[in-house]
Parts: sequence; C-alpha cells; structure tokens
Amino acid sequence: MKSTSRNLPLRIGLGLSLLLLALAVFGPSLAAHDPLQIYKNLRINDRTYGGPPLRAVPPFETAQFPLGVDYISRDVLSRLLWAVRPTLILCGVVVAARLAVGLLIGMLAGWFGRRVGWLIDVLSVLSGAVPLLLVSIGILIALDGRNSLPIFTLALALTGWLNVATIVQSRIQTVLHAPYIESAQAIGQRPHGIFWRHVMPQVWPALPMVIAAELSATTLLIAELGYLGFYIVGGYTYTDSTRDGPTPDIVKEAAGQPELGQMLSDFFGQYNRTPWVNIWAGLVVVLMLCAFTLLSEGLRRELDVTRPRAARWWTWR
Amino acid sequence: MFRLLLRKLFLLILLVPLLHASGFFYALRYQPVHIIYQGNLPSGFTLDNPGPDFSSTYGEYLQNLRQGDWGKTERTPLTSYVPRFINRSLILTGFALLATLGLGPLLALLAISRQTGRVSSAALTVFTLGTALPGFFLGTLLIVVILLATRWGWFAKLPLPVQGYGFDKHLILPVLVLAARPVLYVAYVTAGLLEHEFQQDYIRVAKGKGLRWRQLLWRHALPNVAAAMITTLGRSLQLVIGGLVLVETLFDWRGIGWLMMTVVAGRADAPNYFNAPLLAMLLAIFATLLIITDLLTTLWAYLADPRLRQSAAAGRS
Repeated sequence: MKSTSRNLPLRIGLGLSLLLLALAVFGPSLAAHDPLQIYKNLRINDRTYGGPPLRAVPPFETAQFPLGVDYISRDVLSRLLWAVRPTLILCGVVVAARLAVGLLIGMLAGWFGRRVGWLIDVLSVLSGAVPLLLVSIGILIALDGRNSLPIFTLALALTGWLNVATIVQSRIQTVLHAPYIESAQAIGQRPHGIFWRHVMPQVWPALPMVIAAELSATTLLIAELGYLGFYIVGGYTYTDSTRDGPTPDIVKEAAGQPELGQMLSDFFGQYNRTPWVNIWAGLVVVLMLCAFTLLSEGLRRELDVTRPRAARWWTWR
Repeated sequence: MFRLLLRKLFLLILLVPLLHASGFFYALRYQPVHIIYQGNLPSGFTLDNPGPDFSSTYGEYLQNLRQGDWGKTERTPLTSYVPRFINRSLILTGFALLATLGLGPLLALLAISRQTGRVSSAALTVFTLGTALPGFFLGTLLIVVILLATRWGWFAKLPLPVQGYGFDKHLILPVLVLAARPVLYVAYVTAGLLEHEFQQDYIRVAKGKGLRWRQLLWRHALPNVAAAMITTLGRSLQLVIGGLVLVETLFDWRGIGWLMMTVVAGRADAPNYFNAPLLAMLLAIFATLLIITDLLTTLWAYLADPRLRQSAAAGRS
C-alpha cells in the first residue's frame, strides 16, 4: 500500500464530471447532423437504407453516421450529443430539490431531537415499504407528468430527500452531544449562535459527498424510468404494428427532442432492427453514473480521517 | 427491544391496509380514461372526476372480502390468479438472495489485505462502480450480445434463454442481473465496516499477541460488525425486491413486478389494466414483503449483537 494517497476516484470522478458538463454545454454544437432529421432514403456502399421498412444503418458502417441510426433513421451520435443536456438539467434540478428539502428537514429534526425526529423515522419506514420506482411511476401517471419538468421533479424529489435528511440529522445529533456545545451554552451563547457557529460548520463538509451520491442515484432512477417508458421530452406518436415485444405493448412514441431516458426506452420494439441505440445510450448513462459515483467515493475518502495522507504544502489559514 | 419489534409489527398492520386502500383509490381515480374510452364514457365516469365513487366501491369491495372474494381479473378470482406470480417472483428473489448472502461478504473478504487490514483501492473502486451500474443495462447488453452471437452463427442455437420463465437455465440471466447491484453493495459496505474494525486498538493487541488472520477475522472482527452487516443484507434484499419490476419486465419473467407493469403501464384494452383490486393487492404484497424483510432483519441483528440487547435493556430501544 502506498503511504501517500492520491485520491484517484476523486480525480477521475471530477474529470469525468467536467467532461459531462462540457458535453452538456458544447455537445449540441459538436453534433454533425440535426438530431430530428429523418433520413428516409440512403444509399451507402451500394445498399439502400432508410426508415422502418428498409434496413437501418448500423454503427461503424460509414463516417456519415458513426454510431448508426435509430429506429426511424435519425443519426444516433448527434442525438446522443444533444441528449446529455436535458438529462443533466433534469438531474441537477431533482438533486437541488432533494437537497433543499432534505437539508431543511434534517436540520429541524437534528436540532429539535425526538420531537421532530419521529417524523423522519415514520417516513423512512413508509418509504421503505414501497419501492421507489413504483412511487415515481405512480406519481407520473397520476399527474400525467410525462412532458413537464415540474411534475417530473416532484415525482423524483418526493421520494429521495430522506437520505439527505437522515445524514444531516445524524451529523447534527453527533455534534450536539459534544462537550463544547455545553460549554458554549454555559458562556451564554444563544441557540441560534450555537446552531450556525458550532453545529452547521460540521455538516457542510459532508454535503458534497451527499450531492454526488444523490446525483448518481437520480441518474439511475431517470434511466430506469426512461427504460420503462417514462421520459420527460414530448414527441409524436406513431403506431407500430409489430407485436414482437413481450413487454406490455405501449403505443410507440417517437420523441422529438433527444433525451437519454427516451433513447433507452422501448428496447424490445427496437432490438430486431436497431439494437445498438439502447447500447450507446446505456453507455453514456454508465459514464454519467461512473462519474458521479467515483466523485462521491472520492469525497467520502476525503472525509475519512483514518486514511493516510501526504503532508499538505498549503493550509486553510 | 420488543417494543421496537412491536412497533414495526404495528406499522405493518397499519400500513398494509392503508396502502391497499390507496392503491384502490389510485386505480379508480387516475385511470387514463380518455385514452381507452375515446369519448364514450361508461356510467360513473365524467371527465372532471373520472372513476366511480371511491367510498361506495371500496365499501362494496370490503363486503365481498368478508365472503372471501378478493376481486377478479376477467372472471378468474384473484386468489387463484396472483399466487402463481408470487411464486415466480419468490423463486427469483430467493436465488438472488442466496447469491447476495454468499458472494457479497466473500468479495469483501477478498478485497481486504491481510497485512494492513485495509481495502485495496482498486477493489473499492470496483465495488462503488458496481453499485452504480444499472442492472437493466447489463441485462440489455447481455441479451443483445447473445442474440447477435447466435445470429452471426457463433452458436448453433441460443446458449442461454433470454426470455421467459423456467426453473432451469432461464434463471441464469435474470438472477445475474437482479443480484449484480446488491452483491456489490453488500461487498462495499462490508468491506468498509471490516476495514474500520481492523483499525481498532483491540485488533492491534490481538495481532501483537500473535493471533492469526483467520482468528482475528472470525473471533474478533466479524462478531463486532455482525449487526451492521445484517442490516446491510436486509437493505440489499429490499433493493432486490425493488429491482423486481425492471428485471421481470426485461426478461419476461411473469412475476409480481411484471404484473405491476401490465396493470399500470400495459395495453389499455387488457383486462388487467388499472384493475383496482389487483393493483391494491399488488401494492399490499410489495409492502408486506418489504416490511417483513425489515422486521426479520431487525430481529436477526438484535439476536446477533449483544450490545443491542444491552442498550435495549438500558431503555433506549
């Protein structure tokens, strides 16, 4: 074991996250084609490709469509480059909502102790009783929130803030039992002062790790919902008369705007003709998940006091 | 302690009927009426308040319940329709649980170095990445690889069945996909716990006395982490049950997850679609499974760790 410790997950996680951020910001300008452009009739290498009755261009066949085309013959690479942005925006909004709610309730529960803490206990048992995925699907169907960001945010944030709240609450509770809190009270500091000067500064360092972990969990949830057919962008419907899918046959929607959840959906409708769309979208989702998870693991290692560290050449003050 | 168990049991008795009623209400109220009926609304439905009146319908349902009629799906009573699905899900869950119990702690032990008691960085990274991997992506990847390999002639016929239920080779892929994340999650948490234990002073004393690794592990470290490990195993079982929906939909394994998807997001003219008694029953089943898992985990952790019994006796349970 090395005695110094380069925090490799942190570096790789940060690097990947910045890469994803760059993709979200600059991706659409890098796309070679219009993501909504349908290529009805193509002639490549002496074969005809095109929309559903004809074959679809597979990946690595031609430099014009490096990753192939999707089911109705739109360029996959351009769609992927465009798709990162809405997914990351959705992810960011949901995590911000979860953080806000979780922080508030965690602070209240931690500070006021048993009087408010029982609420979190009850809610965690409640949320442990029904799978998260089902609750999100339920809310999305009930409020018909397929195409609206606020409802999607509500559905995903309503169920995930508990983790944040629990972590914040336990941290505050640990700090409150320390002797210096008692001495602060003894010298006459107000509860307000104790809270903001002594208690909360111990909570803030844990937050980046929580944020990264929540980003990872939210991305996973968005991907799962997208796979099951619940994604955020709108689209137009077209009916597909093939019945080769064992999944319940939903009326097919070809989403207009690209989004990673949409690109993951409808695996069985597509796998005969264009199985690679799911794979490429899945790889991008895996990249996102790796980035956020490595980031959260790296931050967790930073917080671990028993880890051997090299001496710093800089100090806080 | 018994108070804690009693509280959880009480919660079970309170929560399950509540969720049952909520499921019933949800199915009656939020059925997407406009899609199915296209303007020819049957009696009791209006566009402003779609769905028959909840209290009278539920009251009727409870009356029928007294005579043992749990509702029907297309003339088959639910009491004979649903158990088949429960059995299939239980088979899947059972095997996934066995895999988690066996492989999880094993991987954690493999990751810990015998000299320093620390987890190797690489193993920790693998574990964290594994918890982030979306199981359904692994599943779709495997399915596509198997199908393409067969199409390209590498195999005469499908090496592993990719769809459907069967108590044979059909089990392999679904259990693999279902158990992937829980195994790595258990490995990750167990490795962290064991690493923390091995840094303690008493382990240093034991090593100084000359105890061998195996004795250190089985006599000293493991009993101390037993309670936390059991809690993690319980949480991973809850993860498995939560993942049933996605995995069963992917592999056409007709269990309760698959049934839930057909009820909520299936074909609109299917007999199961938004079938109120069925939806309520499925929700109640999920809740029962999860809460009983939680209960059994708490009980087992209590039996395994004397410290919990002590703190309970001191009145803090």
